[in-house]
Amino acid sequence: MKPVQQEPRKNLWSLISGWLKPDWLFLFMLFASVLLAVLNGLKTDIYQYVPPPLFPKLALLMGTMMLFSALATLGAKLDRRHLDDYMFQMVANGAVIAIITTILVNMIWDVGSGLLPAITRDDLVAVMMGSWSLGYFFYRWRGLNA
Amino acid sequence: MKNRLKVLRAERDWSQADLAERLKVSRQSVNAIETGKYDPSLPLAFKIADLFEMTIEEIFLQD
Repeated sequence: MKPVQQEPRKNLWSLISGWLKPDWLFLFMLFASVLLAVLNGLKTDIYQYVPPPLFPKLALLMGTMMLFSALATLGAKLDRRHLDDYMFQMVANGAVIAIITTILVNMIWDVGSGLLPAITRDDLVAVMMGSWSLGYFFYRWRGLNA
Repeated sequence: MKNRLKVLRAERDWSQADLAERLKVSRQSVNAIETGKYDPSLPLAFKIADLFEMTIEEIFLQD
């Protein structure tokens, strides 16, 4: 039987990272999404939508999308290195839930645009943050094999 | 997938935290594997097998 090794001394980073657990981050994100949705609901100055010229809009969207996709890929690589694979899987699976939920919510609001109250892109961000948190906590509770 | 992790850990008188530290994963990961909430990745399964000086098949069993 192997003796248990003595616990290594904790440095400042490990002390801080001990508190920065994904649970707390996602709990904060869940509250932030609710707050964002509530604050959006209180806004009274809904702007008039004016369609922008097509080409600059597409070019800007494509450029921004490619830039942030590259940054997010790098970020995910760092995450994978710092989170062990169980935590990473929960965060990643939660993100998939968030993407699907946001697309479906957007679709439902598109289809029922005449019947449902208008939503802004901030509302969609709130939906995405909230559903990511809920997805994470669902997997935390039920496990990844659920 | 079933596994014998809890038994093997108990035989060595290790806590979940001890095992987690040796595998360099969180204690929650060890708990999730033991309770069947999570099947470890292949690299982690090899790490576990190496630690207990057994083969993967001796630790992880198909349902």
